Amino acid sequence: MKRRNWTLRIGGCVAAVMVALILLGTVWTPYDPNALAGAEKSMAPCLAHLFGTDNFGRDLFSRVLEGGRTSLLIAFCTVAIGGVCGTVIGSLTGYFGGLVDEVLMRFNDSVSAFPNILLALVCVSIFGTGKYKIILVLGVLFIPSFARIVRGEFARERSRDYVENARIMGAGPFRVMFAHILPNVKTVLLSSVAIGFNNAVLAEAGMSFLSMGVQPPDASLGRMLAEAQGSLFTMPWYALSTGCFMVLLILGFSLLGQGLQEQEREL
Amino acid sequence: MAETLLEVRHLNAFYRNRGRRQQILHDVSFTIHEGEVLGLVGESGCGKTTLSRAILGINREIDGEILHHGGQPRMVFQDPASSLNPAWTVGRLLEEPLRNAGVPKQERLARAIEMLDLVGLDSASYERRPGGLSGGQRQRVGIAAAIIGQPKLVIADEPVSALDVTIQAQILDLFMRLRKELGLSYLFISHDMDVIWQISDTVMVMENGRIVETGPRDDVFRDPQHPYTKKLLDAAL
Ligand SMILES: Nc1ncnc2c1ncn2[C@@H]1O[C@H](COP(=O)(O)OP(=O)(O)O)[C@@H](O)[C@H]1O
Ligand SMILES: [Mg+2]
Repeated sequence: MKRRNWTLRIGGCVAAVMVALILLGTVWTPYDPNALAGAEKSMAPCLAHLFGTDNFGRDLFSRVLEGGRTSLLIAFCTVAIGGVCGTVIGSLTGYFGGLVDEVLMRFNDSVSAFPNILLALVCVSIFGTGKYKIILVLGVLFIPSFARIVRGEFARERSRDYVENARIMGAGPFRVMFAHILPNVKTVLLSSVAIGFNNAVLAEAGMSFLSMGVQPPDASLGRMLAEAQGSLFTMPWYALSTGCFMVLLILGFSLLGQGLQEQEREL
Repeated sequence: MAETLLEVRHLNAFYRNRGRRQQILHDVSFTIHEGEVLGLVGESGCGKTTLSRAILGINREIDGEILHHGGQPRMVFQDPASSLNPAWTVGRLLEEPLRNAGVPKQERLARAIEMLDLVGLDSASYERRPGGLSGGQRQRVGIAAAIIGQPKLVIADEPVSALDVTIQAQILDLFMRLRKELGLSYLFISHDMDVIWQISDTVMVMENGRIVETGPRDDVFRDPQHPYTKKLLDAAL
């Protein structure tokens, strides 16, 4: 009898709803996120403005959706770059082992010794800010953690009988790695993607909060939090709505990642 | 005399453990002829699997000669639960050797269905995953995957040791039927004298990586020459 994996289900639902909301925001928002409305300044949440308005009268729900879109885009691209490159590097080094593996993993360890956000800030102060540079910097910085996880999986899988069998059946090394082994490490990979996604959302928010990230006119959750900080007492709903939105987004993906790990353990 | 399929001459095989080289096989020589079943028997850990891996070219730490006169042999593993990719469907597993040989999809599909029938499996198994089959069914898949590429020689490394006794008998029957229908040769490995008796034409006894006795099955069983063979036979009675 299989136990229902509630962590996975709830996480999946929350993450799906949040992503769906943000995607909806790309084609439709209740108000123009940048429209100023002098008569509706600093309104508390009500039916017309679910999250209230800011001191220019802009609808905060519309702005949160727009900010969420930038955050989502950055997180998605970061994880795509880190995940794809990390998987390729990790599977090659894990499968073949040897000297290249040793050297790359030592390099990996030394990079991982520094917090990602610190390295990201250093890179940004060298290369500059803006959403595409953030994507590139975070994406590259995410490669080592993916590579380490995938390498571990491949190093374990490569000595299993089905891999030996695949070779006897005439599969070349790349087919063995990506057609035979990869599907067996899928769950681990997906849970690291979910966790990586969260780390990317947080890293972007942190950098933008320090105004080292996304620059105007782009909105992002981190930038909105920085703006909200100024009016924490006069307009608490600004920080609260933006913060809650981000917490839900992250909560969904962490539960999803955790649920996938549980599922892997059960197998 | 039938054509020779495999010749092994003065084979030594090694494993390397953290730089230390350990010799597992010592001066192993034998031949397998077309249509012959050579039973290899020996205690667990004596080097039987090492020999099959050397013949298949997986372990390259060897010296001596291995000559294939009948093309590349295929392998049936002891435990199909671990040797069949759990993430793949039975159909994909069966078609894999053909795919790697460049056989087009239509033909692969037809051959896979034909093989399922040949080894006594329902064609609905094509869509299933190994995890959804019983141990005996899984081993049938393992056998089908080994013979689908039409090898002349199949190496079966303890193919019934992981199975229940009743299932063992069924799988042994399948091996014997396939041999008759397809004219296959086997290098059939087991630590079980009963199994070796049932399937072999020729018996080869291995002790600590050395072949200590080889001969026609009846001779070896009725009149064992080497004390180790006698010991194995006594233990089996
Ligand atoms: N990958 C390996 N590395 C090092 N030693 C091994 C390895 N595989 C097997 N051995 C050793 O080689 C010997 C023979 O093993 P094996 O050929 O598997 O025996 P058998 O199949 O007859 O039970 C054993 O002593 C075993 O410990
Ligand atoms: Mg063995």
